[in-house]
Amino acid sequence: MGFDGKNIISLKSVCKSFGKNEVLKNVSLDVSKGETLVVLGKSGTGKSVILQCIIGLMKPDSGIVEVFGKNIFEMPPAEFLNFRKRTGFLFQSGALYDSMSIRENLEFPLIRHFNPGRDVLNEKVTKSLDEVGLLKSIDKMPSELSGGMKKRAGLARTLILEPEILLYDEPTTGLDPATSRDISRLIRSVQKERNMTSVVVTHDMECVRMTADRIAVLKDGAFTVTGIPEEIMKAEDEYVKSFFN
Amino acid sequence: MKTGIQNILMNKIETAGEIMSFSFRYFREAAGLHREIKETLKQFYILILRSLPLVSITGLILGLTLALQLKPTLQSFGAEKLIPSLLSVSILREIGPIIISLICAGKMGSAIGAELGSMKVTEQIAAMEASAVRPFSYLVVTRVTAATIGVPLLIIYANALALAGGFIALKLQSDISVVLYTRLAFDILGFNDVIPPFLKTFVFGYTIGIVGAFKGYNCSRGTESVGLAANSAVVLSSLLIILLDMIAVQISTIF
Ligand SMILES: Nc1ncnc2c1ncn2[C@@H]1O[C@H](COP(=O)(O)OP(=O)(O)OP(=O)(O)O)[C@@H](O)[C@H]1O
Ligand SMILES: [Mg+2]
Repeated sequence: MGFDGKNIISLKSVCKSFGKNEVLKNVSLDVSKGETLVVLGKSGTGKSVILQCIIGLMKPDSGIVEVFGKNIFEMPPAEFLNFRKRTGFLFQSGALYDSMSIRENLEFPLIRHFNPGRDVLNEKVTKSLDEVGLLKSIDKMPSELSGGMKKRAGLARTLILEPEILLYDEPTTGLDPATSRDISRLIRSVQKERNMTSVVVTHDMECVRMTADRIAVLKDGAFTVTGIPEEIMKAEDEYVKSFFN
Repeated sequence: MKTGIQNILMNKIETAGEIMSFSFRYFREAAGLHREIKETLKQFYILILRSLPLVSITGLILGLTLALQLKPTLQSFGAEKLIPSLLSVSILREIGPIIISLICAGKMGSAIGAELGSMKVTEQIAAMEASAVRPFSYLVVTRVTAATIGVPLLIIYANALALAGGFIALKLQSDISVVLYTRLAFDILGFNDVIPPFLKTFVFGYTIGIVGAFKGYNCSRGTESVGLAANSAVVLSSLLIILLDMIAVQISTIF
């Protein structure tokens, strides 16, 4: 949609503190179209904060966040909403709307944005749930689902708006290896089929191996190394090594 | 270095500013209310239904006890005939609006605060933000509008029940007819007894909605803050209602 530059997401010298807690000190990052960048980093280093800055849920204290070639914090309101519509975010918890059934969870963004007819709604919801293997749970409430199912339902809800960018916050954390693999596979297939640009935050090495085109390692508020998986896995740095053992 | 009191004061002023801008945002986004009619009606029914039992009982008993309390004193002055008019004036002007608003602050304010608070803590509001579905409009505008309309209606209803309660109390002890009671109760009422008190109830309803929504929507991280949000919604909206009532009474005495 008008943007044909190389870097779909671009952070320049982003800083963010909470009171005295300096979380991001100087984060710069470029993600090009169709690429999957995996962000590695210990718990509490600010990975979720980075994702929230990319989608504008948090405003950095300084630095620039550009998505589709534009500074998101300088977009006019209508353009900002449109940018968010084109950018999906999978929350660490799934963030399902717990007063709505799974079907209503998926219908909600569609109705709010397009208000299509019943037929279109049913078709899209069914297709999206089928993609994540949750068709059987369509009329369940979120409280009736397991952790892994919630994440898959969250992913289905994100995919239903057909975003061009997907941000995943720890998509496999807290799940058993088999379910984790299912989700990683799902991420992989979404990338391939839709030529999705993605940023994946994870600790799960299997997920990294299955999804990463490039890896960035976050330490002390900045990226210490970035590179293709083969390079990163061979790196000498102790901190980087610690993730692969 | 700032002292503790200075700090607390600064915090309060900051919160006051945030609530102000939150309430202005309501008016800006209320322009899109026509898109939220369905959800507003739903919230309206939920809020009204939840408060109805308590409001009914309170209204009825309020009139009943008030009549019973007034009776001996007025009787000793031989002014029994004044009881219905005293009842209607005091209930319509002051007691009905303030008591029912405080009850609604407890019922609706805590419900709105807790509901939005838990949505905030579990990132449901962030998820709505992220998918650009305008959560403020969907969650806040609908609930605040529902409370703004719902509270005045509940107060009218409770006032009617209170007057009925007053009648029951009098009827039990003396032989007064409905017609006479109604005439005595309503003949005395003028513009100032009805319209200004009715108008202020909209302000009370709005206050309950806005404070509850504000506390929930800006709930901090961690599950214990949900309870805190609900609790402080009740405390703050009750306080504001009492202050606003005082101001409203001052204004209405000018006319
Ligand atoms: N809204 C906030 N208010 C205050 N502090 C925050 C907020 N969000 C994050 N932080 C702080 O920022 C730091 C980084 O948090 P973040 O959630 O980004 O970590 P993370 O790298 O995602 O960790 P994890 O792997 O455990 O999810 C933490 O110290 C956290 O306390
Ligand atoms: Mg995180």
